[in-house]
Amino acid sequence: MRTRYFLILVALVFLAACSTGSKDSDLEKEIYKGTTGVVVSFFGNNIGDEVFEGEQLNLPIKFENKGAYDVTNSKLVVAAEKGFMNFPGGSNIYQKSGIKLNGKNVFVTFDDFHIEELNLQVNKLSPLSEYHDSLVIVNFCYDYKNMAFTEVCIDTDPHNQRVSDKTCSQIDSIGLSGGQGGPVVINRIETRMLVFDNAIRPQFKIYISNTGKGTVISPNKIDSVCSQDSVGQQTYNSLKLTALDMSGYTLQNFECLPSELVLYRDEDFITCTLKSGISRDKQPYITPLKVELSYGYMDSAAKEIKINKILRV
Amino acid sequence: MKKEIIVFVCLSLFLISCVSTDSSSNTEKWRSGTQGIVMSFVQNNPPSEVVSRSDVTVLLEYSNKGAAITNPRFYLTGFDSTILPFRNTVVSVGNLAGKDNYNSIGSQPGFVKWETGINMNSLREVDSFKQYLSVTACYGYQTIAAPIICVDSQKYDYAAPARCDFSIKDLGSSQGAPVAVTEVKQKATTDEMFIEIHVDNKGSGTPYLTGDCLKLGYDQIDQLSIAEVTMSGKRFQCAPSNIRLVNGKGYAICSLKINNANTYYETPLTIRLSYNYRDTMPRKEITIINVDKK
Repeated sequence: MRTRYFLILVALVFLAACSTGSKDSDLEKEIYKGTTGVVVSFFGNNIGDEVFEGEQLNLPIKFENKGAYDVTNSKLVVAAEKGFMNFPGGSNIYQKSGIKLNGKNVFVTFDDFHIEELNLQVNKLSPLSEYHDSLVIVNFCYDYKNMAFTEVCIDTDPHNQRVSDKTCSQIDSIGLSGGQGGPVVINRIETRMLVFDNAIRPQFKIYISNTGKGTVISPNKIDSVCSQDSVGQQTYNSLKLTALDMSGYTLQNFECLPSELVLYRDEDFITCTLKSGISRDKQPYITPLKVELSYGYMDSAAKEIKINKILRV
Repeated sequence: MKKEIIVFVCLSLFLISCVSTDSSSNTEKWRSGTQGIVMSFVQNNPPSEVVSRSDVTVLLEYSNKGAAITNPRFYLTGFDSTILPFRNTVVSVGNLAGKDNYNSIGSQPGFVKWETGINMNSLREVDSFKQYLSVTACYGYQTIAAPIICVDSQKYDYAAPARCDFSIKDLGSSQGAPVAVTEVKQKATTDEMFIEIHVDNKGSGTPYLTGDCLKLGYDQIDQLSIAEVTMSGKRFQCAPSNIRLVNGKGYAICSLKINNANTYYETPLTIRLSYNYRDTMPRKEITIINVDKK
């Protein structure tokens, strides 16, 4: 009887192990989804909501990379209200560079995060104040990117001049809903096959928008934006197309206009046309198209802290 | 005893008659059907999912299910050759016999194999992507119809008694080829005979006469040639000699001088159509999963 129970138990354990194994083996195939990048938040619900003058405040801030891409170049600037709170060293500005956050891959799908603990010295209030509401503002600037993958039909007979059983026909507009794992998203790509002699030149009109709450900044300009320096207007809302790969052709093979896109409408676009042609002797085929955008992004968070006076009777 | 013998003889006669009917139908039946070259991918070749490190194998099974000998060429298309660099995407397999008197099924299946590695190029970050594979077969083919017609130069002579049946016999609806002769009508004067030959593209492909199989223009498709129409060793003159199909159907009128003799007879009419035929398989989708993701 005991042996029978033991065998049943072993069988159950074996079955349980099998089912767990199959679940784990599912690879996450869609990493480049979503419209969020790094999210900045004050850690904990009520930490530091209310303090007394003269106290030392420990304020943890969480940086969570909810997007798909690595953060390797970043800058953090925290500003406290001058005269009311200081960081160690006496300044009301705290700066830190080089916070790194991993993106996602097939095997790692959780959101990487970093917690920065800030020590603030709360100053004494003026004798006439009973309390003071003071703001702590956090700006986090980071270089980020966007990669979109889709399939395009290289239709070598876009006007159907030949009678052939085509594998595919030109699709006028390819929708890319759901984002690509970053706040700047490619909404859709319009394709056109321009016919020149016995060749076609594929043209892609890439529609881009900022769906996040933060500000888009020029790539590699985060140091100047997250600082006290003055910043040129062209640094804001500006991004670059850094890769366009299709069927062995790269960005250098395309003529793209504008070279640096400034976002000033709900949706803006870059138009890229292949410089050389693809022979019309080839049969139509479907191929993956990779589009990569590079930009900087600034996300902010603010916290109101009530500084109370210690009343002495 | 006598009764038993009678029953036995009756049964024997019945059986003999059955057998003879069967054998006659067999000899005629082989030139029927609307297939020419048939092809399909062997199951899981190509697979619907493949990882980026492995090879993609395409295995095509083909056979000639029609009644003509042909030399088909198979074209592998639909994919990006920079990702799937298949070699020899055009394969000619040599002469392929079809159905005949002794083989009512068609040729044995043959196989074409294409194999390649996957060239990921700059697609190192992509999760997965799709490629499509399709095969087009192009081959020259013939349709041969041999109905029985009645030749009677005095058909419309009311004084003469009706002598033979003017309906066309043994044509059938198809002749073991994708293009079929569907109807033959005849008219005869005292010295000339006219026949109207109707044809229909009953296959899923496209007949054509000249041109590059994969790059046919509208002026090249839906055409076939009347190679010959003969009767008793005499050749008809047909107009047009090349039939243009409209909505898959077309016809031609052929004429032949006959002797105004007071004779009538039934004879086989041989109609031979010649054309090239292009047929494409539905595309097969394969998903390439990138396991070497950066």
